[in-house]
Amino acid sequence: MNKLGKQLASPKIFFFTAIWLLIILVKGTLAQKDIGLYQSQEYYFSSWFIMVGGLLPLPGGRLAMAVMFINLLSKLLFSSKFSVARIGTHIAHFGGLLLLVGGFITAYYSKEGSMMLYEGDKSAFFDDYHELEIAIIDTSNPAFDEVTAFRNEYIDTGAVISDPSFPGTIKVVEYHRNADLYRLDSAVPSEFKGMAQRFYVRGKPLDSEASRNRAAMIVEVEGLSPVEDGVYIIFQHMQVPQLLNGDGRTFELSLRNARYPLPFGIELLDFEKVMHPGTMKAKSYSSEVNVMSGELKRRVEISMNQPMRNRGYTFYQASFVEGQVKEASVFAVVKNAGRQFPYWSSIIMSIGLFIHIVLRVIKHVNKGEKA
Amino acid sequence: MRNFITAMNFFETLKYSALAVSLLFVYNSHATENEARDIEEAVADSLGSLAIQDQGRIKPLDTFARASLLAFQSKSTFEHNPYRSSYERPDKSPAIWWLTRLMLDPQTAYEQKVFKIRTDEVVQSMSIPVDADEQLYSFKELGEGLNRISGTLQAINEKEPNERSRVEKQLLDLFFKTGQYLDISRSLTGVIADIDVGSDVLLEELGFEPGQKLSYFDVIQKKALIGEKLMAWSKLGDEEKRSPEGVALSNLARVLQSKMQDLSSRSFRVIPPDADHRNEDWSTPWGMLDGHTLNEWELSRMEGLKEIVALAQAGDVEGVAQKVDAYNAESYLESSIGLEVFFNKSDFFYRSLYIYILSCLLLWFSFIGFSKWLSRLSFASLAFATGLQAVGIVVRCLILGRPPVTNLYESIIFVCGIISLSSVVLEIFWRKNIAIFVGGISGVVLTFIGLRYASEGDTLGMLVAVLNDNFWLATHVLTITIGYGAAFLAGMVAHVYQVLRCGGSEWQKMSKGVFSVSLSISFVALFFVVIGTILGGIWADQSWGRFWGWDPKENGALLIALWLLIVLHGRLAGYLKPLEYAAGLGLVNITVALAWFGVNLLSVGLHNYGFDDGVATGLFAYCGIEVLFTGIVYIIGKSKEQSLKTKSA
Repeated sequence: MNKLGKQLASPKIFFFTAIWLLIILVKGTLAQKDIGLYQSQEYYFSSWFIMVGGLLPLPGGRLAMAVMFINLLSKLLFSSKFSVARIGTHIAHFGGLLLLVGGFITAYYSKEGSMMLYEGDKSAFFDDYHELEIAIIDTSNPAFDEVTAFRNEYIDTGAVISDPSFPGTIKVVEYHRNADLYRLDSAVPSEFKGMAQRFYVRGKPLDSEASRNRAAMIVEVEGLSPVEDGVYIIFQHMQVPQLLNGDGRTFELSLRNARYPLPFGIELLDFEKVMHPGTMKAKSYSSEVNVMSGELKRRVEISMNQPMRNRGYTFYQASFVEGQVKEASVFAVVKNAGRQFPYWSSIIMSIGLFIHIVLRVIKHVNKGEKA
Repeated sequence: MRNFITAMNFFETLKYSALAVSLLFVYNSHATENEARDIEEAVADSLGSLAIQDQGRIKPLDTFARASLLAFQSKSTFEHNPYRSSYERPDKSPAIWWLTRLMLDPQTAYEQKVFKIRTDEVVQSMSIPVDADEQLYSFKELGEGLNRISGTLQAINEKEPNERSRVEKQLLDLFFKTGQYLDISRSLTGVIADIDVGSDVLLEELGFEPGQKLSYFDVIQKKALIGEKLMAWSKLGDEEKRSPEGVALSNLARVLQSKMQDLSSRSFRVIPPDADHRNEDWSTPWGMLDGHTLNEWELSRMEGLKEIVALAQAGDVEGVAQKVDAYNAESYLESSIGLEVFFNKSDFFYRSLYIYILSCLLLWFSFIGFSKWLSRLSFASLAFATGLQAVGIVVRCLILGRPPVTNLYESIIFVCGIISLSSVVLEIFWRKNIAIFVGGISGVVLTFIGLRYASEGDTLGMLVAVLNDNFWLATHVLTITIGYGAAFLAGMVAHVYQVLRCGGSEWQKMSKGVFSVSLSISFVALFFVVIGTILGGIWADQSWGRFWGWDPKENGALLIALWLLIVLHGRLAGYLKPLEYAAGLGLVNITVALAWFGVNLLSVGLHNYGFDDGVATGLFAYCGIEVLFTGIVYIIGKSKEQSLKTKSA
């Protein structure tokens, strides 16, 4: 065990892994010019493997970092002799290890999305930036809506949704992450319902700006009634919801950004933008909000570089929409269990490297005196 | 200034410039009547302290003049000191003289060759004879030229921006620039007293002194009275209309009408709002003459400005200086204006360039003879240049009230300052002249590059919201730029080591110490780069909610850190012997250059500041030379090592 550990701890492993990471880094950065930041990130940096030409799997950024993690951990556990002269490097390496741990926690256990509010509006959920969901909303109870959402494997061609919350089944016939809608000229068979009577969808390549992708689905609904059963089109940012009737209830069917509930509500009171005088250059943005939990209201200002943190969620002033009458503020909402790690890591690494440098300088000076 | 261009409706501008050309001829006669006013340079100098609001900042007119002239001359050249370029010859007169003449005596200024056009095709397409020597053209020439091709311009404007050819883009750009030039030249026409009423009777009736010349501002104060008089005049019989007073009155009306063309002049914001509205937009003199009734404050500002202009025209240097100071003081300005004028005149960075060059030359001569004294002198000049640079950086911080690095230009002069400062400190402890050499060279190169970026306009710009945060500017940005500097320094010292390894036994002996120093500096570089990068992530976490987004600028910083880590661990793993290690460390300079300048070429992500075509060429050339140099020196060093080995064996 100890021997294996020592081998795993070799700086040779780091040397080659780091060179590989450097190559991915350069390639992935250059690729951003063509495929945009998000896609490049997914393909090069957040992946275990990069499939070259769809055939040859090469190690991805995440795998490289995992190897580095094992390498570092082995070094700290098995290989290091704890001498005073090297205390600085040990501390610095421990800091590096923490940084990688934080990175993995963030990659797997964080949620990021956005919330857009017009002045005076309230909300208690936020939308994921990229992940999608199929939402089936039972609107028959006037007091509340019952929402059932399907994510991950359901967002794909061939997926079948069959759930007690919905009297029929929904089959995904076609799914496109980015698609255009076209108006149909000719009449269509009677099994085409809703939007599908007048439109058809065609997939297209992903946009380099991830937020411009508009997903669309062709779905087949069965088991409701002959009138309702048929082929439907649903897509992201659809203006009018697709309604389905069955079992004496009315359902809304939609394809939308995954929506996460918050344990508290946010009400936007006022959004303010200050310009540098005589220019169109913004000096600051800020939003005044009420944070509502139950009957309690708390007034908070969220501005650029001054986020609001509440119960594990952090709200950032991200953007705004200027309207004729009312302005809307857009917040980035993040829940990240790993967010403390970089803070600790940077402190620990600075201490470690600092000690190392000081020890080196002392050694130099002593050597100089001897010589 | 740029906002003016974007805000201004295209066709409005087109009309405006057509008008300009016609005005040229109308006013020409006028100008000769008024006699050529040779405005004292000293007057211009005093005017330079007048406060103006431009691009979101209150600055001295001197800075405004420099930035404006740069915009008209050329965007990114470095053939003369951009801060001294003038209308007559480059290198001669400061920009404020040009600006003063442009506003007080536009007719002369219109014929000065101010516009730099480096593409001859652009000039030819306007049917203007090419000035092969200086590539400088006057406003008058260009105004006429652009008028000739107004149809073409309109067609270019209707095209999508990315469909325009290079010449077309430049033509359109030139068109907007001339519009802006005209705009500036008409800034003060409302307060210059150049209206000759020609009838003492009428003057007295209006409440002025006989023989007095009036400004539009003076006349418009009496607009009710003039209106009544005109109404009465229009009811007169033909004979009575032609009385001397009648003719004077109708002439006056005509002059007023033509002056009103200048109402849209809007770049010259020198009228501050009153004390209760201090943070609001400033107004232009013409903005005060748009017909609204002036309040007491506005009247006092306009009167003040009128007096300054009158004194300037009379050539009263003392008077202008006093009046400008009083005007600024009454406007409740927290005064960094004086400091900025001082900063502009001192030209710290330009002067430090000469002294860096001096330091390099002295060091070079010290190898030939008088080595002790010359190298001491060289050290002293390096220290002096560093001091100048430091003072310059501190003064900039004082003017803007923020940390020293907020844009590419500032990062260059700051890194330069850091490298020379480190070199000075290093030399004190390690007297081998090597630090002087490295510091001197980097000083020359970086100051030179920095001045090239300075030629893009006012470098003391305001910041967009996300950057407008002194805490993070002071922590992340400073740490990472110090990291750039340290990495660069480590690379340079590594190169010195490589070269020493190519030499005779004396050099070989010396190289051991150099290696050790480069190793130490590389740890310092690693410290700043790693901490700076993580601090950047933490800033991103604070403002956007994500620590790391693989944004090009972040990746650039990571690239330097990874490279340093690879080289250090390669040495630990036994793969890299000192010669290889030094070669690797030397190449860190490439990663610095890519992270610093290269990522801007990608133009994606949140971090990008400023970029133009020349940068790409320069960057690639630099990387090529770096690789070539490192490779060649490595090969020579390696063969030297072999031959030494065989000798000792």
